Amino acid sequence: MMKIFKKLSAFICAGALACTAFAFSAFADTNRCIVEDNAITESEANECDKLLEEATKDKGIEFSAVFMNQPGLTDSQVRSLASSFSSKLGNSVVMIVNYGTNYAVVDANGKCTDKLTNDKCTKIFDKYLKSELKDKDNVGAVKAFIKGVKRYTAFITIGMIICGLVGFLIFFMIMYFSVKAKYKFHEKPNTSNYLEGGALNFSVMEDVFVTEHTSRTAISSGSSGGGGGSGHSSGGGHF
Amino acid sequence: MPVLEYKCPNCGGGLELNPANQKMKCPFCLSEFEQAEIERLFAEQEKNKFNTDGAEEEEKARKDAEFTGSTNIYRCQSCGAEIMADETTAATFCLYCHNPVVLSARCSGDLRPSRLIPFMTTKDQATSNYQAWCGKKWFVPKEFKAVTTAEKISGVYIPFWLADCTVNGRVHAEGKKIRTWTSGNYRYTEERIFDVNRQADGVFHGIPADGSSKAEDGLMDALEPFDYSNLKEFSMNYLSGFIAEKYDVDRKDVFPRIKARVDENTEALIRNSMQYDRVNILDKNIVIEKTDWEYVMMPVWFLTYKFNDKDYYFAMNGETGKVTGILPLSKKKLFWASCLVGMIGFILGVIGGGIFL
Repeated sequence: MMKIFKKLSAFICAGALACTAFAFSAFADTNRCIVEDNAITESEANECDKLLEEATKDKGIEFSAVFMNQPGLTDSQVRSLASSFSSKLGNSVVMIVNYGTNYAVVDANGKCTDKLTNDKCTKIFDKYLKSELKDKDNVGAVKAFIKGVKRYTAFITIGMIICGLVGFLIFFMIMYFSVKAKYKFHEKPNTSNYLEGGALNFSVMEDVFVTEHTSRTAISSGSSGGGGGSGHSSGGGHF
Repeated sequence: MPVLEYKCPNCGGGLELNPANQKMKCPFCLSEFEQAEIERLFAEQEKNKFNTDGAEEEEKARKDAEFTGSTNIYRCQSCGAEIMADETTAATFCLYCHNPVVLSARCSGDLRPSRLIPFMTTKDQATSNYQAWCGKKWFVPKEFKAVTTAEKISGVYIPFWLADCTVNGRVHAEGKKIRTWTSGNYRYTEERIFDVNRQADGVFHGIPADGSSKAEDGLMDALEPFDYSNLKEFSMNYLSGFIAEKYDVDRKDVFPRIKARVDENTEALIRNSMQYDRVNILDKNIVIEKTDWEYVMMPVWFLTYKFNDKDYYFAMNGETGKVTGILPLSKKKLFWASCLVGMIGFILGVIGGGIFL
């Protein structure tokens, strides 16, 4: 794993050099938390690394975070950097924070994309990361990043449980009230059985035509369309 | 009040009517007799009694009448025990020797039914029908299905009023014939409106309504139809071995129920004659022009069950075997079953949530 991260560091360094000629100077003892130009302190980096390592063991997904300070990198360059980074890691989620432009991105790759769609990556940034990054709480940001990923990649999410509870209530009510109605006594006798000849004798049967009118309504038509997707998703924004 | 008991000529046991073959059967020595034979023997015995101690018997009967007129207590002629009965009971059993007893005064004079349908199903049939009927109902309490409960089924002759009604109905309505079609991007709807008048008359024969305040009206209605071809001239013999009630709801009190049924049915039949897509009744007048009444007794196997301080009923038509009932519902059973079904809903909801969220 160490080798992979060192290779990745080298890859990011190369990418960065190609773009802006910057180079990573990652702390020697950090693996999952990659820091450029002292964007965060060493102690913060160590703490973030521990958190990311624990999350990786816990979820079976490669968690990684990159902190940099490159005012020359555009947002799209940061996004493509994140995308390349996560692609190299396989089944992974990567957070890249660029303090140079105050831009951050969350990128997922592999199986994670089943649950971590573009929309979910944006939500992780908006709901979890943004406020922490605004406060320059880097450890807090990593914690929030892990929390957000866990929330959206959980086997059963809160939304699913709510759907389940709604399903439970609907099925419960249908069962309860249908059985209650079934057990309610509502048999009615047929009085026609007692009618002589089984029918009435009609002495008057008049049907007089009165009026006629025709109305016209336009038929509405609708159309629908759809889009495609890819095996890669990301979302981010400025903080 | 005079009490009637048909005794077995062989052993002196109380005779009961056997619904299977319509013969009088002695439950002690298992002898069976034709009804006519028993009536003849009974008449002879009564005549002999009158010849020997007629004056004494008459005096005793008068005293009995004075006493029982206010207390509703009778004396069993088999064991001498006192039988208590309420004001509407016409036939019952002695609680001690279980001999069938017919309170003949409750079935004489104005209270004498003109005809009855005898029991044509046995208690065993009623019990097995009850168990089969309950067996299909999952949410009925266990105790309701128990054999001991089934054994409490009693054969009861319920007093019924049969009404013959001549009805005349007139209905004025607006009928609409609607036709729709599509042309280009438009849907066209054509409505043709008609002024509809109908007048009809008919004769209903033997609409039944129970004359007992103890019997649930809806339950008795649900036992219909009875096959009137089995109606027999009333005889006390038929009551022996069953419980019988005399009417306590007069025909004038029953008439609104009969009228409601006739009105509803006449209107429905007239409405059925209007072949329109939509019918709006503007005015109607349904009049029962003439009603003839007959007081009869109908055989019903009956069971009352108390559950959570509420009475529930099972009833079986003693002639046709048709069953009905007002069932108790075990809310505990229903709750857990609903939870189980709810769990299926929960799982489906979670899966659906996982797919769509």
